[in-house]
Amino acid sequence: MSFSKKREVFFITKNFNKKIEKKSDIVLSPEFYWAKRVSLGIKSSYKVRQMAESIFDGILPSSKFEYKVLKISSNNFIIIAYNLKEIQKELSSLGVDKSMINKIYTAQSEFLNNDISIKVNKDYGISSVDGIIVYTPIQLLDNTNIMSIESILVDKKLSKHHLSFQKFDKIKLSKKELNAIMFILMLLNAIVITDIIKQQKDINSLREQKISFIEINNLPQTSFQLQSMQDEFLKIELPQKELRESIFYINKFKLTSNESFKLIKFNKNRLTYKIKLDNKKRENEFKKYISKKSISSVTIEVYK
Amino acid sequence: MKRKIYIIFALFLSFLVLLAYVYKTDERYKSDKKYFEQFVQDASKLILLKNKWSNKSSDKKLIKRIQTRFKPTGIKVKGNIYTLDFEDITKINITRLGKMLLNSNLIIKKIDLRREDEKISLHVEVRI
Repeated sequence: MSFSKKREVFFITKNFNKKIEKKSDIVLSPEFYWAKRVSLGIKSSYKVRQMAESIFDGILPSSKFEYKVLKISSNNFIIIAYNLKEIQKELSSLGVDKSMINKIYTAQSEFLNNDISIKVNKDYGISSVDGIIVYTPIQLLDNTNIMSIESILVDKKLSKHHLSFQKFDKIKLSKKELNAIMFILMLLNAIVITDIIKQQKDINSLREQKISFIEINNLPQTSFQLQSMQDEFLKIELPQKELRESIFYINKFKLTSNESFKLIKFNKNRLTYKIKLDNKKRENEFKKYISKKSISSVTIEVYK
Repeated sequence: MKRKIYIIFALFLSFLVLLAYVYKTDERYKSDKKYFEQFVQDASKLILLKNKWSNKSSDKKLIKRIQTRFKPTGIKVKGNIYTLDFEDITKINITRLGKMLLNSNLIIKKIDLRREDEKISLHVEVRI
């Protein structure tokens, strides 16, 4: 086990039996992935990655693979094919806790361009064959100046070519599921748009109803004008109503044969009555009768 | 794949925007409807008042009936003001005429009803 200043780095093989107790970086041996060297008339790693599936066609087992492209030189690349789910399964079976893993690297990316012979354990080591890092029995390694993997990883500065561990937990949607989501959203949008159109129609219909109502009844356009006109009519109605009610009420008072109304005058909303009564008693009766109803704009003159 | 995800995101965003628009439009419709209902209510009152106090043809017909039935001694028309004078009208007729005027929707501007002994005279001004 090596200990770097930043994080510990472990080299993982299929026989890994150590316990990782702190958050560490791991370097996978070639047992966990496939690597292929290609020479193409392309300069961009991105374009090579787009072709990676077809390059590995017929080579990889049927499974979902992801690809990483390492550029060696202008037209030369090494493509790494890996299955994250399988790697996760393997690591779990080796007792490697997911939460203790910071980043995952491959031996290929970390020892790229190195002509190496490194001892991993007493039986195996890794070496470079035409640029491809292989996990090989130790007997096939060049034993001169062979170093152990732990001693190398102590001070090794890791590359930027790590595999994202978080991808294990990423929700993956199939084409079918994506299409279904798209269809549902399009349907929802269509429903909402239909609703908007219907609402617009309702608003327009309401507007037309109002215009028609105003035209048929010869009304003003606004509520303000409406109220103003109403007030004008009420100014007429109130005094006219009061006039009629007052006259009807006063005329209900039963007069004797000697009594009579002498004058009923109405002008400028003011009603005047002149009435001839027999005596004071009758006058009081009449006044009492009048007082029962609050007739404000009436002047009563009584004479005997 | 990426394109589909972008499309899904765009569809979702447009759905939210449209939903907000639906909500706003719905609020607007409710407010317009409320205003219209209030307008109709107010307008109905005005229509009633107009039909009552501004029905020229009905008013003119009534004045003609009064003329025919009670034969005023004098009648003047100035614009929309009608002045009717009745000299020495009988008690029965004055009662009938009074009821006709007071039960109508003629706008009564002036009434001058005088009784001197048994003689009753009436001066009435109405506006149509």
